[in-house]
Amino acid sequence: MSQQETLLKKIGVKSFEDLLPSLPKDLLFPTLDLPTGKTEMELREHADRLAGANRPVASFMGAGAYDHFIPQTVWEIVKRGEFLTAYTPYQAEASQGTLLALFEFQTMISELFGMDVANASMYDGSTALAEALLLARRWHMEELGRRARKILIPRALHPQYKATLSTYLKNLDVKIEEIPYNRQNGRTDVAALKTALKQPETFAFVVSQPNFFGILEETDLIGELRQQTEALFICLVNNPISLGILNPPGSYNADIAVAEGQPLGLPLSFGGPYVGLFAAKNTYTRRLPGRICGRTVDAQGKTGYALTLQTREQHIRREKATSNICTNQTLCAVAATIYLSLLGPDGLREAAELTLERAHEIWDLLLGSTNAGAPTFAKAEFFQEFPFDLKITRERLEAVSSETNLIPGYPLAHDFPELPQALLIAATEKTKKLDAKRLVNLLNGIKDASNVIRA
Amino acid sequence: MLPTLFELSRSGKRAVKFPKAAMHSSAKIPAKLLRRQNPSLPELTELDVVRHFTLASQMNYSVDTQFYPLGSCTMKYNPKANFHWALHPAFAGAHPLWPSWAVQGTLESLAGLEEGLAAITGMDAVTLAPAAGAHAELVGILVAGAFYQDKGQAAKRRKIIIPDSAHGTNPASAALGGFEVVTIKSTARGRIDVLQLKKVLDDTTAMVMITVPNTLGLFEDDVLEVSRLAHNAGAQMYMDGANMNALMGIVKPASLGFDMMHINLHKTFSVPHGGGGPGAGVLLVRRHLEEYLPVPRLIRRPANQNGELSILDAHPKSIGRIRAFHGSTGNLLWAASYLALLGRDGVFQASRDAIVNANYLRRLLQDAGLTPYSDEPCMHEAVFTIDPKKLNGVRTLDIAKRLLDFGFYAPTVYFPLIVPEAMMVEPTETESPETLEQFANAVKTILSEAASDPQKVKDAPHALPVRRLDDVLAARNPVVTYQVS
Ligand SMILES: Cc1ncc(COP(=O)(O)O)c(C=O)c1O
Repeated sequence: MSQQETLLKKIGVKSFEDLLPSLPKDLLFPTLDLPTGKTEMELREHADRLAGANRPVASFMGAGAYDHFIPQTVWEIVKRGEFLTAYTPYQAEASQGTLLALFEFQTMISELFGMDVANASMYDGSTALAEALLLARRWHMEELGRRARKILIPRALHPQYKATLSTYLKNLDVKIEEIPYNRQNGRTDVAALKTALKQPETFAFVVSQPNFFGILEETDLIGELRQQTEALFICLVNNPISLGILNPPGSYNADIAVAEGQPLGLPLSFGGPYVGLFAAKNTYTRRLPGRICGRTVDAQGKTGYALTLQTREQHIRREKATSNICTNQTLCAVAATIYLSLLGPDGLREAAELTLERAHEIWDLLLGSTNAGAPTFAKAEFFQEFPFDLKITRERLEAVSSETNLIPGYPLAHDFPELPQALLIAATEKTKKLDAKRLVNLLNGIKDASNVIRA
Repeated sequence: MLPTLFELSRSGKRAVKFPKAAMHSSAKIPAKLLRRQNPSLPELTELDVVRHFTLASQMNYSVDTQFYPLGSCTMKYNPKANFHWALHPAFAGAHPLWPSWAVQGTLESLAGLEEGLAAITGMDAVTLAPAAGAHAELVGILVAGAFYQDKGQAAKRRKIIIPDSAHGTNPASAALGGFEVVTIKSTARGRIDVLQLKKVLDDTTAMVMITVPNTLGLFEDDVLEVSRLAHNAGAQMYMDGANMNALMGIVKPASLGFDMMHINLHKTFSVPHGGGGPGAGVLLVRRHLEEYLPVPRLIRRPANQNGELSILDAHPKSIGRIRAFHGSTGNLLWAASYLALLGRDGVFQASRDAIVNANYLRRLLQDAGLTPYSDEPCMHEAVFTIDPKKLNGVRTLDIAKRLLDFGFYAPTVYFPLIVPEAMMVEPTETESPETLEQFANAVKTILSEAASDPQKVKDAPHALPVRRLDDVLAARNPVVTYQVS
């Protein structure tokens, strides 16, 4: 007797079908148009073949996802089965490892952002921003008893974040107004923001530091505006590594700070899994979306950790929950925690400084070149990326890029028609000088860019 | 308890160093924007970090170390072979904004996954973008909204009907999507009450959202009738496919009348749960809903234009984007790998074994003294209840905590909400009969302890790094960060 048959007998049925009395008989056991299963050896060959269809390229693409250095230790630990194959820590006593790491994660993110509290992660930076706006909306309606109909976002906000926001807010009767940027320096127009904030029913304003163009905003002046409005100030930190050298959002009055945490130890992986960081002032603790880990004590008074404030969440509050999120990005949060503990404050500063230097080296090379073009914003102050107006046509650029396996950056024309020639160019501490030279050659229309193979 | 990293920290220690930059940041960044004080991150050596997290990990129960019968979560074994594809540098290094010529291998992998999932469910079109099940629910709800907008019925169709046995994300997603939630009670048999459904179903209904098999581990035997009624009222049928592990090769959701559904790849397709995520959700729809799916979407050029895959960034009827980039690709590749490993026969066998295992465990636990919620055979999981009055006041929570002492993770408890003292057990196909027998023996022992020494059960756990934790204190006085300075 096969194991199946033995079990069926022990269950007390004759056949497997006897276990399915409620299913429509005529629909049972459809044929599936799938290949047959592979052995592990065949699987590996198959995956390698597909991997070979991805091209090895040198890349200056940033725009919200960055190729920073990931120390070996991060994934050696993350891949441990005890972290990798556990579920959400519902049984806290059997999940202290994950809970401790989440408590440390929340602490580090709060510290990094200069905020009081952080949650245990959101799906990504864009949904973290959307959830921040939902929090602000509910804060205005329920806590302040005001109508909440409008948000202000910079025109220079990440276009994919804008798109995500408008999807999330689609059916909620919220108007989204864009604040223009200055054509000389690429910064958001603070005076325009100040005027716009006077409009009634505005419940939040968003600022990205740096903005999508990589340009540093005047967060000191923007922060002051918070004092004259009830609208919540939501700061999107474009790359948390920048906080190794930049002022944290808490220092300039942000109510909520969010970010894409991918640069903190996560591979680019074509868009995910990433980790949305979400930190806030104390005032908002009981309204945060998603899971939060808290410290408590056990029956004998010993320290331990557990998920807490669960009455905010969907499994208890259902349609009245602060968010619908359930599964989050815990393992990515653990990776970020390991990353930050390996770097420490000095390592983070070094990574940020080196990134800053690499980006400015490219800027200098381009400015010194004869034929590449001109900076989009003559007076740009930036951290790791900047737009540059190219002379070379878009078509030519695409052709040369694919011929030479060099991806020079993110063309802005599609999302910003007013910047038809601009290319957003990013660096990280990993950017190689040789690749930077190839980039400059390519943008200068010099053919031999293809001669240099990626080192 | 282990000390936190902040307590281990000593000034000047460091694991990772970078080459020194020649330039000082103040040369390029206005002083007023510079951080005046370092963040209080811990300062540690690499060994400090490795030891801390290794010791921490050892305080977790996990599938790799324990039987983890957490109902509704499908804690199956995650075959290690899948790492190769999921973490391959050629895929892991790909930037989401790279042009499609650079990432044909990634796109081919994703297209294969889309086709496979469509084959298993009978659906016509797929978006791999959602980060998890709840995210896919929201997307499905917005897709339905866009469909009715297009048909000029958006103002009228404001209601989503959801049974009371549903997971909390269903009503939460409906509310987030801007809809009104109408809850209907389940019958005594744990099924949708068709009479009640008829009362609330009308031309203001946008969607009927049900879970198949439902959260009681039962197949909705009136599902075809429910679909017929919903469609007659002009509403969409949504299937919460968190329990798809019961249906692969058993029945195709499309054939049951569903217009859309999601799959939690971190359940049925073995993407490791990671202690709570990251997962990957997938939304599948019938043809009439395809053009409303979120962007970006994968499209294949016709063969005469080299058949390459490319990315569709905008479509006039699409609901738009639901996250910054394509999807949780690393996890999608894991699922693609798992699907390739199993193949046609493997997916059916997985579902069949999951159902057989669940029924075997159901029988064992009934014999051990638990009361099944239903007399009928279960699908891939079974719900039990107990009567604390007959157990000297021992409650489901106590049994769950005591199971930890026996080296088992606990079942899902107090869910679904409609069953008192609920205990939801899902063994999955990857566990051996011996493990299920050992688990049932542990339950039996605990029930006899409840008779002889109930306090022992109420005080559990006894053998873990911590004793029972005080949730009430944690919520009353929330301490969610370590006070560094
Ligand atoms: C029945 C059911 N529906 C929905 C969900 C939500 O899915 P996720 O956690 O992936 O968001 C879950 C899982 O937690 C579930 O079990």
